[in-house]
Amino acid sequence: MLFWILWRNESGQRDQLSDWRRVGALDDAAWQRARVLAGRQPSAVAWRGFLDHLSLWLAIALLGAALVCFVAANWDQLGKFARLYGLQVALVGVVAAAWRLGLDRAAGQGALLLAGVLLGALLALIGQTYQTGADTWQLFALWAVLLLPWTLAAAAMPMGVLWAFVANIAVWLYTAEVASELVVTPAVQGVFNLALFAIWSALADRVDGLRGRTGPRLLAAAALATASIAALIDIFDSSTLLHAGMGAWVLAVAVIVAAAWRWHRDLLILALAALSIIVVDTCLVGRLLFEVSDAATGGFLLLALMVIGQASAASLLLRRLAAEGAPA
Amino acid sequence: MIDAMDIWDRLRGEGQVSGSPPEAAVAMPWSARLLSGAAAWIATPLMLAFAALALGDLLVTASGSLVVGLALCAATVFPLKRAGHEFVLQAATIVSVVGIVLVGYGLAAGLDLPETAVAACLAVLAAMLFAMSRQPVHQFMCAGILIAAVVWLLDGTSSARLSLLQPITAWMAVALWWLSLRTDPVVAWQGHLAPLAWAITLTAIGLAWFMPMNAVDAIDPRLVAGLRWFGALLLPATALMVGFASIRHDDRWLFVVLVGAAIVLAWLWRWSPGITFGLSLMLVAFARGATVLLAASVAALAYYLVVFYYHMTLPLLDKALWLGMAGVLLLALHVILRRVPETRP
Repeated sequence: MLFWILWRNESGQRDQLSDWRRVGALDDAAWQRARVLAGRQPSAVAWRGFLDHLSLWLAIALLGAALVCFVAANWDQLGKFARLYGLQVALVGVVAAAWRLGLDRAAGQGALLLAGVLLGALLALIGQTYQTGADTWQLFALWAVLLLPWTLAAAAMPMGVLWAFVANIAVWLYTAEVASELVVTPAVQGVFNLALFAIWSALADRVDGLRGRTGPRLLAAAALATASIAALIDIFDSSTLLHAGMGAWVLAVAVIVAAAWRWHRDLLILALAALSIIVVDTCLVGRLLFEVSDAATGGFLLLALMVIGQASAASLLLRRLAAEGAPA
Repeated sequence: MIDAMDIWDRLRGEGQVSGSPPEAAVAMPWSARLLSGAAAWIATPLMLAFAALALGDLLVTASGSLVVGLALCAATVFPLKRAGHEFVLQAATIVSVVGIVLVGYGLAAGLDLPETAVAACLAVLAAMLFAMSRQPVHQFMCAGILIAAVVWLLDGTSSARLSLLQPITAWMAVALWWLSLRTDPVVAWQGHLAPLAWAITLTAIGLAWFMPMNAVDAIDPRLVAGLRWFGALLLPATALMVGFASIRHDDRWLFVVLVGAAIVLAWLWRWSPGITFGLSLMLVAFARGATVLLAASVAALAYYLVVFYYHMTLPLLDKALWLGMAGVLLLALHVILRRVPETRP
């Protein structure tokens, strides 16, 4: 991904020159000369890298979509064996391509990702052909289980995100089917994403392909969002007796804040946690206020001031951490 | 590659500038700005609810809401003209937009104006606030209201007519992004281009939903075909534009491959204007160095692949064929890019 670094550097350079121009540090002649010195941007090297990656990943996406359409068409002229074996041959071909290209190359990772999508299509086709009677969650759970060895072999962000996505759908469908309380699904999903966040964060320093903040940030955002929904259901649904939502939310916020504080002081994750706290405690206080008092006018003002106070305190803390060198 | 400091040193050596470059202002980290902005979007509606309850029945009357709406719009002009804390800017944005909505309600309910007159008044108000504002989110929302009002004026109830706007808005969006890249940062209206381009981009993405795959009764089939080609031509035009600006001189073969692939893809996807628009946006986002726009163009492309799947006028097997052909073409492009050597002037 050298082109990406080059592109970001070139963009940063262009932004810097524009800032100098905007504040009046460069007059017309200096601005024209600076643009000549900076050269054409993005450079042809960056364009070549971008088009190289775009053509590969878009081709994989389109071929994957073509196969999904092909399966969905349920082509009557082909017998069920032709359909099943056709898809299996495609799957084996893509896995062989990934093996031949090697997982240390983007093309190999892309081929394995496509194989992961094809695996799901194959499972759906088997379910459709034989009418196995299995629940939808079982399809996704089986997909996640079968995908796991490839995810471990790839040890890279795209496969990790695909696995987390498939597993999340399996958990969601399962809990929605077995749980009688509305709060259980987001609460379980919050804890599940929290566990994935903890695992990814722990592996990020040891596995090269999982390095970087994107994976943990996505999982932390997913855990906080689902746990916050669970907490809000607990707050507004008086029939809920389990308080599982609040419990999951407290656990998610505590673990994520502790991990983000220790793990490279990730300011974005801390900001998301602060936002989650503001939303949940504002709703909690709001419900208590409007239940015990009929002074709605003052209640709205009090809630607004609460939000402003908390956001100011959290923002101050984030600025202090940024001044100490924490990444934004 | 030389960095900005090297350029400054070269300019100083040539006598174009003197001294050190200006110090960058200590900016608030973007995560803290995100939090402050989000908090404003929670706190301001609560404050407005408090104000509405305190005002009592005033807002219920049409004239009252018209006066309060205009007052809110006027009160936020000053904070939105200058740089300030993110919370204040976002709060002012919400108050201003609520003001526009109240004015719209006041005009429609109180003065008993026809719909087109209300839309025209709202378009004028939104355009004025857009021109006066220096806050990108507020500019974007005013531009959105302006576009909605214009669509309303052009009979927004007819999806067939709406679809006619898609290729025009797509071309406008790409042209605006390109113009904002090429315009000198000291030009007064340069800061207005990106928010306007965002609003028109999202409009074009939304309108592609209405773009008919085949002729519909309300529109002349030749016009539909013409519009389809006009929309599809955006991709090769964008490839030519970005290629001429930054690739043609340094890597001639890459330029030829890019334009050739854009022409074939435009022909393949002439049925589905969202996909050619998504690809055009990707090219212009990369040319601008705009990460968020690039992410949005990827999302738009993914969305339109889903839309393409649900177009019922085309059989699934045909869709699989089109998708497969485009996939094979892109794989061929990938192989060609690996084989064709870089050419230097």
